[in-house]
Amino acid sequence: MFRTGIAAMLLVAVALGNVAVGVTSAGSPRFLPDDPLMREVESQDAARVKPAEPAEGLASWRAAKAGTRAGRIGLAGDVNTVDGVPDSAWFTNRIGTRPMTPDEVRRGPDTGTPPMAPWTVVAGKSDGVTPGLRLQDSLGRIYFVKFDPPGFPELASGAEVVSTKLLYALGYWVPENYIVQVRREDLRRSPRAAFKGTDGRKRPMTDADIDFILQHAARSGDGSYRIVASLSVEGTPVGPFRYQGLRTDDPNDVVLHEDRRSLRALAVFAAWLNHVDTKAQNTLDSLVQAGDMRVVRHYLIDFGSTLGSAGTEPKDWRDGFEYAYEGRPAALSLLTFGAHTPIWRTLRYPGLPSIGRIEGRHFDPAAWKPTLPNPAFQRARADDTFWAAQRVMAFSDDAIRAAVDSGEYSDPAAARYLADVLIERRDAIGRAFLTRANPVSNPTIDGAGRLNFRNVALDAGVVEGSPMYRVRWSTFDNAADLAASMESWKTVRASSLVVPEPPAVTGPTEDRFLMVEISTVLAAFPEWQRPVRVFVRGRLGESWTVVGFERGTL
Amino acid sequence: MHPTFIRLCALAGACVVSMPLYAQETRASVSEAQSAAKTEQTADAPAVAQKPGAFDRLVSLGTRVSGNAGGGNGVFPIFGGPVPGSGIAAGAGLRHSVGSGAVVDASMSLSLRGYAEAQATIRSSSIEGRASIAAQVIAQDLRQLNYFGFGADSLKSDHSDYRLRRIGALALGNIRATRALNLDWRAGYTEGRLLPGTSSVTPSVEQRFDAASAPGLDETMRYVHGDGALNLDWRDHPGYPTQGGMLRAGLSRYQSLAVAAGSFSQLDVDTVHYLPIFRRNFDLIVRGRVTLARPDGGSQVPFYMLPTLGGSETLRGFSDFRFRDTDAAVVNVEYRWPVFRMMDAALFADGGRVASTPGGLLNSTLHRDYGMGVRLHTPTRAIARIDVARGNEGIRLSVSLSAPFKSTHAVAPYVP
Repeated sequence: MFRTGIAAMLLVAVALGNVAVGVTSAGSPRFLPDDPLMREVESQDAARVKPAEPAEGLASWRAAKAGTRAGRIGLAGDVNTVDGVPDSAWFTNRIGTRPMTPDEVRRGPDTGTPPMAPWTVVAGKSDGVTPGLRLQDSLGRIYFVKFDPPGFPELASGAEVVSTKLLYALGYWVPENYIVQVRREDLRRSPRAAFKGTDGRKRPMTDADIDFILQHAARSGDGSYRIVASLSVEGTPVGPFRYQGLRTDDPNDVVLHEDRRSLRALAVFAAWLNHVDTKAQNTLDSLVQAGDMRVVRHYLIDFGSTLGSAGTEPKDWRDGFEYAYEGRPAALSLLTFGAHTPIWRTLRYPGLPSIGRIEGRHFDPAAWKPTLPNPAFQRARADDTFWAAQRVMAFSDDAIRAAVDSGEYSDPAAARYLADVLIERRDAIGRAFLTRANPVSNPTIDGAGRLNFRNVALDAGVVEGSPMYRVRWSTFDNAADLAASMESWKTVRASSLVVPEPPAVTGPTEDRFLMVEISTVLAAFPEWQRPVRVFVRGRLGESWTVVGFERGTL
Repeated sequence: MHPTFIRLCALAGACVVSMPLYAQETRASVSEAQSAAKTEQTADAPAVAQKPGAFDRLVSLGTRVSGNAGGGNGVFPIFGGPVPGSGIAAGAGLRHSVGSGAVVDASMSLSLRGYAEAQATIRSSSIEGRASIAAQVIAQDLRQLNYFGFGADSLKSDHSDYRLRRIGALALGNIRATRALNLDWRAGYTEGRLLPGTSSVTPSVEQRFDAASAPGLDETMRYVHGDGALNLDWRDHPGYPTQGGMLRAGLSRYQSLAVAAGSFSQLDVDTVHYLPIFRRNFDLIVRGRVTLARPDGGSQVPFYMLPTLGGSETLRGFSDFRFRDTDAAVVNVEYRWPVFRMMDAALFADGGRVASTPGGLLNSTLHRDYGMGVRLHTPTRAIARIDVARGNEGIRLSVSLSAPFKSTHAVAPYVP
C-alpha cells in the first residue's frame, strides 16, 4: 500500500513536471509546429488497464478541500494553445465548436435503432437504492434498465434521457439511453439469468425477483412500465474514473483529472442540469479498440439524479444549494432553531410529479453546489467556466426544447416547464460566466487576411451596449517567448483587425509570429479591460493563422 | 535491497530519461513522450485496481441496508433490539423468494444486554400488491424488562426487572383498500415464562412485588390472541415522514389458557400528524395515543401486558415501561427543523397519564417532560435518533434507530 502510494505520488510529480516544464519554461518555444493540437495524443496501448472498484467519497471530499486551499490554480492541463479542449477519450468538440441542429441534439448519442421487444432478462439487482434489470433485446443488444420511482412516473427516466442528450451535445461520452414501454409479459427470464441480492452476492434469478423489482417501479395506467434502457457502452468496462489524480495503470492518462478543463467545466454543465450526483460511481471507463491498440474512454453515466429528479424521488429542497454537510449553515440552523432562512427554503416549485424540483428564477450558477464537493469543480477557473458557458449558450431555445422532447413527457405542461427552466438557467449561466472576463473570443483569420473576433457576451445577449476595443500589436519571438510592441494602443469599434506586416522575421525559423492584445471597453464591465492575447503565425507562402489565444490570468 | 528503494530508483531514472523529451519537435511528440515515460515507469509494477476506502465501504453498507428495507433476496443485517431497553443490538437475516410472490425470511438478533430474538416468516402478496398474508414463528428472550408497580403514582424507587422468555406462532394479513387505507389482522398463540430479571443493579420483580401488586407474576403465560386494526396512513415516507399523518385504530383480544383470570380485550388508538411549516422546511409533529385494556369480569390484566408509558416512544424523560395501568394516554408535540441534509434537530414535549379507568385519564397524575434531540436520516428513512429529555425524575438520554412515534404492536409484553 505504502509503495503503491509513493509510486503514484512520483508518477503524479513526473506528469506534473512534464506538463509544467514543457509549456512554460523559459527558453523553450511557446508554440510548436503542430500547434494548436486539435486531438489529444493517445499513443500508448492501455491493454494492461485493470478493472477498478468505485472509490471516491471521503477521498474526493478531502481532495476538494485540498484543491480550494491549494492557492493559485493553474491553467487547465488539457487545453491547447488556442484555449480549446482537443478531442480525446474524455471529450469531443460538438456544440459551441460547430452548429448542432435541434434534430441532432434530440438524437444525441443514439446511433442505431431503438431497442426492440421481446426482452430477455439476463441479470438483475436489488442491492443499492434503485433496483434494476439487465435485458437483451431481440437484436441481441444488452441494455441496463432502470425504472421510475412509484408515485413519480417519468421523473427519473425523463431526467436521464434529457440530460444524456444535452451532455452528449456538450461533448461528453455518454451511453445511448432510450425510453421504452414494457409489460411484464414482455420480459422473459433467461435460464442463465443471475441476480444480485441485498448481500451483494449473485445467485440464479427467479421470476419472483422480476416481480419484486417491478413492484418497486412506477406502473402506467395500462399496466405497462416506462423504462430507461441504457445500451452497454462500447468496449470492456474497467470501473469508474475519479475526479482527482490519475489512473495509474493508463499510460495515456497524464493530465491530472482535476486539472482537465473537460472536468472543471463540467461544474457549469452540472449546474445547468442540476446534476448534483457527480461522483466517481456515476462515471465509467471503458477499454476500447483504437486502431491497433486499446485506449481508455471515459464515460459519464447515470443521470437519474439530474434536473428535478433525485432518482427515487424529487430532488431535495437544498440540492444545488448546499453540500451534504456545511458547517456554517448547519450551525446557524441549529443555533437559531431553524430561523436561519437560506434561499432554498423560500423557493416554490410547480408540483409536477414528472419534473420534481428544479427552477430557474433563483438559479445562481456561480453558487451552485453538487451534493459532495468535486475536486475538479473546485479548481474551475474563470477561463474554464467562460469556456463552458460559451457551450451552454450555444444551445438555441429550439435545441433545448428538442432535448426535452426526447424525454417523452406525457404532460405537455411539464415538458414546457422544463424547457423554460433550462432556457432560464442557460441565460443565467451566460450572465454569470461570460461577463466575468473580457468576452473577446473565437479569433479567426478570414480570406482577406483580417483578424476577426467575437464578443460572445454581446452575441449571447447577456449584456447590451456598444463596446470599444483597445488593441496593440507586437512582434513575438516564439523561440524566446518574448513579445515586443510594434505600436501603441489603438481604440477601434470594429471586431475585425488588419494584420500588420511585421518589420522582419522574428524567429530562427521561417515562421513569423505576431501577438495582438485586445481589451474591451464598456463602462459597466471594467474587468473587461484586461486584454486577451491572440497569437498569429505566418508561414512562408501561407497566410496568417491563429496559433494561440490566451484569456490571461484571471 | 529494499523493494521500495529499487522502485524509487527506477522511477527517478524514468524521470531523468523523460527530461530530454521536452526538446521534441512537436506538441504531439511531447505528449507521446509523456505517455511513453509513464508506460516505462509502470511497466514492471503490478496492475493495481483501485479499492474503495473505509468511507465508501460504509456508504456501500448503508446503501445495502437501505436496499434491504425494500425486501430483496439475500442476507441482510439487523440493527436494533426487539423492545426498548434492549441496548445495542445487531443480527442478520436471510430472505429468499419462493414461488411467485412468496418470500421467506429468517433472522436472529442479539443485544449487549443479552436480549435475543429469532424468527422466521413466510409472506405472500398478490400480484397487485393489495393483499398479503404471512405466517411467523418467533422466540424471544427479554432479560431485563422494567417494572415499577402499577398506577400513575408508582415510585421510581420501586424499580425492579423481570425476564420474559416467549415463543409464539402467528398468522397475519393486510388488505389495502386504497393507497392510504388498509386493514391488518393477526391471530396466534403465544406462551412464555416469567423468570427473575438479570439486572445487577435492580432487584428482580418477585423480590419487590407479589401477585397482588404484579398480577400474573406466578403464572405461566399462555394466550391465544387476535387483533385487527384499521390504518389510515398518508405519510410521505413512513420511514422518516415529513408530511401527512397516520391514524390507527386497533382492537385486540387475548384469551388466557393458563392464567384463569388473565383474559382481556384492548382498544388502541394512535394518531400522528406531520404538519409542514413554511413550505415543508420545518415540521410540527403532534401525536396522541390512547390504549384501554379491559379484563374479563373479575380478572386482572397481567402486569407485563398492561399498557405502559415511558421511554423513547412515549415519555422520553422517563425510563422504559415506567408507568403501567389498564389505561394509558400520551400526547407528544415535536418541533423539528433541518440542520443539514442528513440531520434534523428537534425540540419536544411529552405528557401522559395512566389510570385504571378511562375517566381516570382526565385527573390522574400528569407526567411531563421536555427536551431536544437530533435525527440522522436519509431522505426516506431514519438512521438514528438521540433525545435528551428532562422529566420530574431527572434527565434521560435515549438512542433509537427509528423515527419517533413508531406505532408498535408487539404481542407480548405490551410495548408502547
